[in-house]
Formats: sequence, structure tokens, C-alpha cells
Amino acid sequence: MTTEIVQGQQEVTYLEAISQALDEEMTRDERVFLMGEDIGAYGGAFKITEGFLQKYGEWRVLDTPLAESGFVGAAIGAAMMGLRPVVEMQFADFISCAFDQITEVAAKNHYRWGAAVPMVIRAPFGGGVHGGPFHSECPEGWFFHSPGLKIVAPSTPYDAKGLLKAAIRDPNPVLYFEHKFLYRRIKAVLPSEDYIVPIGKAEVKRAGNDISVITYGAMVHLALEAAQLLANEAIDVEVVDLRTLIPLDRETIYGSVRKTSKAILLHEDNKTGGIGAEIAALLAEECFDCLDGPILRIAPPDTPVPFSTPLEEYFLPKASDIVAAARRLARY
Amino acid sequence: MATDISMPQLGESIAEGTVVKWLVPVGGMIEKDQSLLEVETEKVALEIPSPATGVLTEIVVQAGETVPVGTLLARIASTTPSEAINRVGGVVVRPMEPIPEGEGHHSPAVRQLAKAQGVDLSQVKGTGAGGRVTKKDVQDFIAQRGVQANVTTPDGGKSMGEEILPLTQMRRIIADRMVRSQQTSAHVTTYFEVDFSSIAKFREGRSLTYLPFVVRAVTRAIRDLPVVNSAWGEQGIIVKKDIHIGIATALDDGLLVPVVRHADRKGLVQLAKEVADLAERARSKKLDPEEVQGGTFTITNHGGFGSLFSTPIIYQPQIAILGVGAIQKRTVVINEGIAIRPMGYLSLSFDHRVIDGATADQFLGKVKGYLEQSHWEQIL
Repeated sequence: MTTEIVQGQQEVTYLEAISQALDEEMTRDERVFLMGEDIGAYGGAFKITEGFLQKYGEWRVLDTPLAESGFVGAAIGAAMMGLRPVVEMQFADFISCAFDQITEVAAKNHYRWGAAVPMVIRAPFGGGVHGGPFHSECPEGWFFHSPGLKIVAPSTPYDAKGLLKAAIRDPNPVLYFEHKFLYRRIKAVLPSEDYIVPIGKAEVKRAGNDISVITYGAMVHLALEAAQLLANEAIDVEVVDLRTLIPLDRETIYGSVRKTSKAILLHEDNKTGGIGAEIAALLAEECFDCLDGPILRIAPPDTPVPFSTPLEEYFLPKASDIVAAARRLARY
Repeated sequence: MATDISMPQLGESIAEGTVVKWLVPVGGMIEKDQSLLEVETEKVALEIPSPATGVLTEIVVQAGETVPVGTLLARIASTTPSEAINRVGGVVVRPMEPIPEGEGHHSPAVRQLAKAQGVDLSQVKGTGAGGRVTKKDVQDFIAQRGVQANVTTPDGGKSMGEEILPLTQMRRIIADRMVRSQQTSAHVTTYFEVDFSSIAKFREGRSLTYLPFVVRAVTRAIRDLPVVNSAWGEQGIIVKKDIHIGIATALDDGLLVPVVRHADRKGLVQLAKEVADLAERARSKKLDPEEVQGGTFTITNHGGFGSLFSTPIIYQPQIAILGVGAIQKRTVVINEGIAIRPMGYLSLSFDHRVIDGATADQFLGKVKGYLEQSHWEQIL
């Protein structure tokens, strides 16, 4: 969003932005290679790597068995030997199969003996696509608690491309949470030149003075929609898109809340023990003197994501939830 | 016993509800657990049973209105003792606790702001939930306080016999700096009387005012006691090596302090020229921004209109300012005789955080000494 946009260029979807980042990084650096279920001949469950097998060959686009723990372990080994693996989880829900490899091996290697693990795990996450409890999860909270990892979660095509490139170039294991709901729903014209979005930098997607809504992923768009509605009621909402979950950009978070004195933490992951809880604690510790109201969280209830369409709609946060919470804070 | 009916909390993250319909008219009898009204939220619609048996005495929120959770909807006068808490279909409904008014319930932001701005929170009217004083209430109060000071008579009412002079940018800046200076420094003012005879004699036949002589004497005294030419810093007292003397200059609508740079390196004629030039350009608003910056000590010549003493306010971040009073012929005792001499009072306000009275008096004594000496020819 900060780079100049070349006129007349074609708009790309969030999904295409991810695909472009992979393609450009594989062309730029021959150490970069892909692993995942059905990513080769089939082109990936969401067609992100369509054509990659033909372009880069079977040594750089590896179809794997349904064995996340095994192929994440293999990727860790390759990374330690100097390659730059990018692993695709077909759905973020399956990442728990590789939990041990990610949190015990990838996250701790550098701590234990200084060995870098420059790998990326792409995890298509989130609901709103009627995928049911095993294809809609937001499992970032489990890893948020694990030292040694970086976690990013872009909300726009620009950030999706820039953060994936930054993740691939980063010497640490990076979990890249891409939101399935956004894949084909949002588009933007991207800069033609090479760019990255630095890991660890949040962005104020909408400036406002009354209430800070701090969020990430698909919820950014919900927050922007609610902010638009609330503007009609003269409630001026600031939307902070975290973009990176680890390391958190505390400076931007604190700066926003010090200005507005009121905070709503919004996410699609379960409420209990989520990222919102951590940020609420940070605000209480670091920004207590500037608070002029309770810190509110908006998140789904602590249940699996329902398969039934009306239940899923009930489960997911809605713009009206943000509007109601903001009104409550504005009146407080 | 009366029972208040409030908008119940009908689910997590639900902040308000709409009264769809009252099922009992005002004055109507109602049994405990009998449906009293229909309420709708964005997620559910349901009938609310009465928490008590009695007469519906008042409907506060009419059908069709949407109100926050916890808002008083109606009152029931009980005919039998009833529970004070609302029960909805066996579920205890927790109306949002209204925040009690008064001290001890201010948010951290409100307390912080009130402290920083010296606001007595008991004077601020709260517009938040339950009459809570919000941060915005305090901000509005501060803004209002500024306006009121200008537009109201002492009895608080507006008078037709007044006019409001709009605050100019300069007025605001002066106001802000003066108040901040008094909040910052520990002001003390000390006075000395000076015999200007030798200067008066020297001025005969020359077009020189008293001011350049004072500038000259001040720079000499600073060389003797450099700590007067300093600033307060958290890491220590910052003593300035350069001596730049600010000259407070009255304008029609305010005040400017142009600076004579390296005043200690200039002779009387040069000083006189520069002081006159700066004053002239200050009045015609032709000074460059850098000509009013960087002063290390300030002189204010308040005697021009006959004032004898003053208690000048220090120009931050300097630590002292010298006021020069009117020079008048007075009878003074010299040795055992009475003489008539041109006399004037010097007022030195200094920051007691940085220097003590002894240093200030020593400094002012030196200024006096330099003014009363008679070798002016040599420094022309």
C-alpha cells in the first residue's frame, strides 16, 4: 500500500499474490523449493502452485504423502542443510499433525545449537467457507505460545505477497497464515518491482481517534466495514492490522491505544487464551494509565467451527458485533 | 417495594436490545414469571417474564426503541415481596452494572489527564455510562475552562457590556510559555539600586540609551559568574559558553524577545545599533525566526513607562532575567552628605533550582558595579 502503484496494471487476487511471491522467490533463489500434498501435478488444493511443476520440475515442487510430521521434518532437515523449503499445509487444520516437529525441532534448533532453520510453512486458515470443523480452523494460537517461531497473517494482496517474500528470506521458521476466505474475494494492483513487507510491522489500515480495533487476517475487512458504519454515528474507529503476530509490533499497538484510550481486540481464533488475550494483558501492563474504558475482545465462542451454515454464521464475528461493542465503549 | 426492569444481557457480545412490544399496559397487574414484554436483539427474540408480582407502574422505554443492555425499561410496584434481581426464565439476568458516580471510579486515563491539567474532577459533569466522567468530558472541560475565563464575568454569567478579543497566535504562545515557565522554575526575584551617574554623564552629547550599557554590564557579570548563563537539564546544569542576550520588546499586541548574539564581544556603539535595529524590526514584524531564538539570558526594560520594580518571568530554558526600572533623579546619601543622582532599580528573577540567593546577589552586585564604573570611553 505504501509503494507507488503503476497505472494500468492488472489487479491480482490475494491468492494470485501468494502464487506470484512463490514464483518470484523460486526464480530469484534456486535454494527455494516447495513441498506439500497435491501441490505438483494437481497444482494444489486451491491451485496456488498450478504450473509450478512444469516450470520448476519435480526436484523443486515435491508432492508429499499425507504425513505432515514427516514432510515438515524433512523440510527442517533441508533448511538446516542450506535450502529454503516452503511447505504447504493443505489446510491449516492439519498443522497439528506436525506440531512436534514445528514447536520442538524447528522452533528450538537455533536456541539449542545455533542452527538456523530458514523455512516457511504456509497454512490456509479460517472459516466463512462452510468447511466444517476440520477445514476452517484458526490454529495460530497454539504457535503464538511457542518461542522460536515467527508468525504472519496478511489481510491484503499487497501484504500477502510482501510478507511471503519476507518470510522466505527470513532465517527463522515462519508460519504464514493465509486466509482462505480472502483468496478470491479481494483484489489489488501490486507494484511491478520486487518488494517485501517487513515482518514485525503492523499497519494502521484506517486512522481514527475514538476506539482502536486491533485485528488481523480476514477480520481486518470486517473491522473496516464496521468502522464505515460507525462513522455515520460519529464514532471514529482506528483499525490496526497486526500483519505479524510474532514478533508483535507493540509500538504501533500502544501508539494507537494511547491515542484512543479504548481498545477492541478482534480475531477469528477462539476467545480463550487467544492473541486478543495476550494483547489485552500487554495493554493492561503497559498502557494502563491511558485506558478510558474496558478492553473488549470479540472472538468466536470456544467451540469447534460448526459445519451448518447458519451456525457458522452465528459462530463467526460479524460487523454488527463490532458496531455493538464500539457503541458500548463509546457510551462508556 | 418497587422492582426495576432492565434490558437483560441476552448473550455474549450483545450490547443492546429492542423492545418489540409491551404485553401489559401501564397500571396493569402482572404475576411473577408471566410474560411482560418482547425483546429482540440481532441474535434472538424472546419474551421476558416479569421478575415480580405487582402493578406495572411505569414504562420508561417504549416499543420500537433500541437501548443498551442494563437500561431501565419499566418499574413494577410489588404487591408481594419479591426478589430484587431479575430472573428470565430461570436464568439470572445480569444487567450491566451502572458505574457509581463520584470519586474513586475514574478511569486511569481520566485520572492521568486530570492530574496533568490540574482539573478537579468533582467539577466535571460526566456523560458516560452511569454518569461516569469520560476522558472526553475532561478534555471538553479543559477547553471550556479556557473559553470561560475569557467570556464570562466573575459571577459566571455573560454580560452584554463585554466584548471578546479573539486570542491571537502570539497571545496563546505567550500565555502558554508564561504559565509553563512559572510551573517549571522556582522563581525568586532580588532587587538592587544602581547609581547611573557615570553613564548619565557619559551619555551627554551622545545619542545612546541606557540599555546598551546594561547589556554590556550583564555580559561582564556573566563572564565572572558563568552559571547565570545556563539552562536546567535532567543530566545537570548546562552552562552556555556563548552569551546571547534577549531583549524583551513590547509590541502593540504582544511581546517579542529578539536576541543580540555574542553580546559580550560587541562595543557600546555596536550594541546600541543592534538593540535599536532589532526593536525596530520586531515592531514592524520583519525579524527572521532565528533572530528570536537561542538567547541565553534576557533583559526586560520595563522602566520605559515609569515602572520601578518588577518580578519578570524567566524565559525558558534560561535561568535568569533582568528587569531594568525607570531611571529617576533621587536624593541619596553619599558618605555623610545628601546628593541628587539618577537612580534605577534592577530586578533579577532567577531559578532557585539552579542558583541560590547568594550567587544571584553576587551577580546583580557585579552588574551594579559595572554600571557604576566610569571607564565607558574604553569600550565605546
